[in-house]
Amino acid sequence: MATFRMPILGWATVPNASGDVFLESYDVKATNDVWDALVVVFNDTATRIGLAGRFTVPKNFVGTAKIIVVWTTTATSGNVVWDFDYRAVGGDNSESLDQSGTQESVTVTDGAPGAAHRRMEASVSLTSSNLAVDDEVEFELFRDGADAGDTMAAAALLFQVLFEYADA
Amino acid sequence: MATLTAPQLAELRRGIAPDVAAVNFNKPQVNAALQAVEDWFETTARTEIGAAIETAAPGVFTNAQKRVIAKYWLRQKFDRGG
Repeated sequence: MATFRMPILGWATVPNASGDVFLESYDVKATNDVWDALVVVFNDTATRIGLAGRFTVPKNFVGTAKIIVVWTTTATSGNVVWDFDYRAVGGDNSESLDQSGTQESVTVTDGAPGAAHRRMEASVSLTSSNLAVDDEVEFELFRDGADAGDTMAAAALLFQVLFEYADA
Repeated sequence: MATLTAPQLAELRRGIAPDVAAVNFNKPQVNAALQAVEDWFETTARTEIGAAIETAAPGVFTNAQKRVIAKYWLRQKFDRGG
């Protein structure tokens, strides 16, 4: 059995209508201005702000499903609350991709880095039995500023979202 | 004395975070500081600024003009190191 990590942000990824989640070149908030690739900014707000997307469960998926949020910030104090809501849709001409409600909503709270711009990983387990090979997983990743646990007084910068799983 | 709303605090924090060298404080701490400034302004400063301008130039400025004077003085003081 091996563990795999698969990036799940792609062309279908879109910020919600809050106006407080947006794509920005990293050099806007970075100091050295060398690595200019896009990051997704989640502003510090008092509401739940999100980034929607989807991915396909790989052929060798068996279980131990997790979501890994790779992020950073300029802050060195406080916590950020990440919520991951999703629904897995499978089959061929059997299940709707346009369903109401989520299948599961999971949360992870991660502390600010010890120094600005350090790479951070927040990991949260999914219920693996919700997922099957070839399922289309529709998801939204939120920063939950409405949660009292979200105390970080700065924008969170999202670098990557990974789907971690084990094969047979 | 006004209680700052959650959206007002969020907007203020969004301005503060990129403007400080390091965000070594959390939301509750900066919220408390902002509310303290708000309380102090409403209980003390608002009246005293108006009175100071009135003493310097009696009957010259309207309240709206006094607000503009205070606004630009604050900008000079803190944004431009005056």
